[in-house]
Amino acid sequence: MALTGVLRPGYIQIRVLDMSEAIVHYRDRLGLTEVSTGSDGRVYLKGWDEFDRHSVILREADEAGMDVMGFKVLDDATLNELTAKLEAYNVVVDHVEAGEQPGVGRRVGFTIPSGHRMELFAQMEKSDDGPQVVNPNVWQSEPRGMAVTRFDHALLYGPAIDEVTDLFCDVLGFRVAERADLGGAHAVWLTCSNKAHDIAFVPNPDPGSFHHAAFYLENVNDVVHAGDVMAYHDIPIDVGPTRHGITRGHTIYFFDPCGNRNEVFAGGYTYYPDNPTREWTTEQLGKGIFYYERELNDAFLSVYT
Amino acid sequence: MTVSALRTPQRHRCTVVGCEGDETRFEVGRGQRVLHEMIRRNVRAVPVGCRGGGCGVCRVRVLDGEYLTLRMSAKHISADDAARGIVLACRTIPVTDLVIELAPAGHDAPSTPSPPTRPTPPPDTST
Repeated sequence: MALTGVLRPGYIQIRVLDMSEAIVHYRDRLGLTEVSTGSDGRVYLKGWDEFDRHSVILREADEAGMDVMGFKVLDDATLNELTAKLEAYNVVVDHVEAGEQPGVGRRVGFTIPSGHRMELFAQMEKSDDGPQVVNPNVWQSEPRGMAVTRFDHALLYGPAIDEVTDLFCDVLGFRVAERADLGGAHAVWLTCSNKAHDIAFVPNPDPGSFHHAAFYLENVNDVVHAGDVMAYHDIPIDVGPTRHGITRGHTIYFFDPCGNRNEVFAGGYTYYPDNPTREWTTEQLGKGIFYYERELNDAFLSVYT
Repeated sequence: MTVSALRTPQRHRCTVVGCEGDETRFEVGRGQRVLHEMIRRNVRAVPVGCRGGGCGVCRVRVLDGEYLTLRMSAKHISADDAARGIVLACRTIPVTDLVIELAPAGHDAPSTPSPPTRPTPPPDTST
C-alpha cells in the first residue's frame, strides 16, 4: 500500500447566507445527496461516488466563505503521528471530540499561516448510499443535476503561502505538483495523492479567503452537461467550459446562491511522488489558469469570499 | 389583484452616477435585483462579481430612493454601512427609482501580495 499518511480531502464546511437556497443548489443542481441536518442547523451532504458519510457541510452564517477543510488520514496511529509532527513544528493544535460532526471520529485542528483552519481525522462512518461493494452498479441512487461524483479539492487565498507550502510538505507529506511565480510570491498546487492537486493556494493579503470548492466529474462530456444545468437554472457562470493548463483538468467556475465559487472539474493528470514540479512563469500564468483563453479574467484575482 | 397593485410600476429606473458625474441608466423590473437586471440589459456600470452577496465587488451607495435588500455578507456590509445606504447591488431590490454610486471597499486583490491587513478570524466550526 503506497498511499499512506494524509489520504485526501475529506470534507469542507462552507458558510452560506440562505440555507434553503443553498440546499437547492448543492443538492438539486450539483446533485449531492442530502445526508442529515444537525441540531445546530448544519446540513451534511455527499457525492454519489463517496464511501464516507459526508463531504460537504453547509453552515448558515452572516458572511460567505469557508470555515474549515478536513483531510482524512489513514488511521488513528497516523493521526497521532501527524499531531506530534505538527506540535514539533510549533503549530498550535486543538482537539475536536468525536461526534461533533455526526459520524466523525476525533479531529485535530490548526490554523495555517494563510489564516485557514485545517483539520485531520481518521474515522468517518460509511454512508448507506455510497458505492456498492457486492456486484456493484455504477451508482446506488440515480444521480441528479450535474451529478458530481465527489468533493475534489479547494483553492484558498491568503498571505504567507510559502510558509503554508512548507507546512503542508514538511509536516503533512504533500508535494508541490505545480507552482506559479507571481513576481516574488508563489501560487502552489499541492497533492497528497495520485491527483494533480488536493488543495491549492494563491497569495492574497486577505487571510482565510475562499476561492472555490471543486467537485469531480468523470469526463469533459459531464462538464458540458453541468454547463447545460447551469444555463437552464440561470446559475451564474464565472468561466468555462474551458481547460486549466495547470493540472490539465476541464472546468467550469460558477457561483452558489450566496457567491461562493464552485468548480466542476474533470480529468487532470495522474501524479506520482517522483514527478518534478511543473513551473509557470508570471507572463504565462494566464495560460496556466485558463489554457484556451490564455489570460486571467478580472474575477479570478478579485472575486472571492 | 387590487387597484393599487395595478398602479404599482412594473419597473423602476436605476441611475448610476459615475465618479466624473456621468450617469448610466437602466430599468429594473419589479422585484428584480439591480445587478442582475443591469447584466440582463447588457449595461456596464457596476462591477460584477459573485452575484450572490458574498464577494463585495458590486458595493454601492444609494444616494436616493427606497429599496429592500437580501442578506449580504457582513464582511463587506457592516450594520453601519447598511445604515449609510451602502449595499451590494446584487442583493438590492428597488422599491422606487434609485440613484446609486460605486462604493468599493479596500477588498480587491492588489497586483503584488502584501502582508495581512486584518486580523485572522477565530476558527468557527461548532456553531
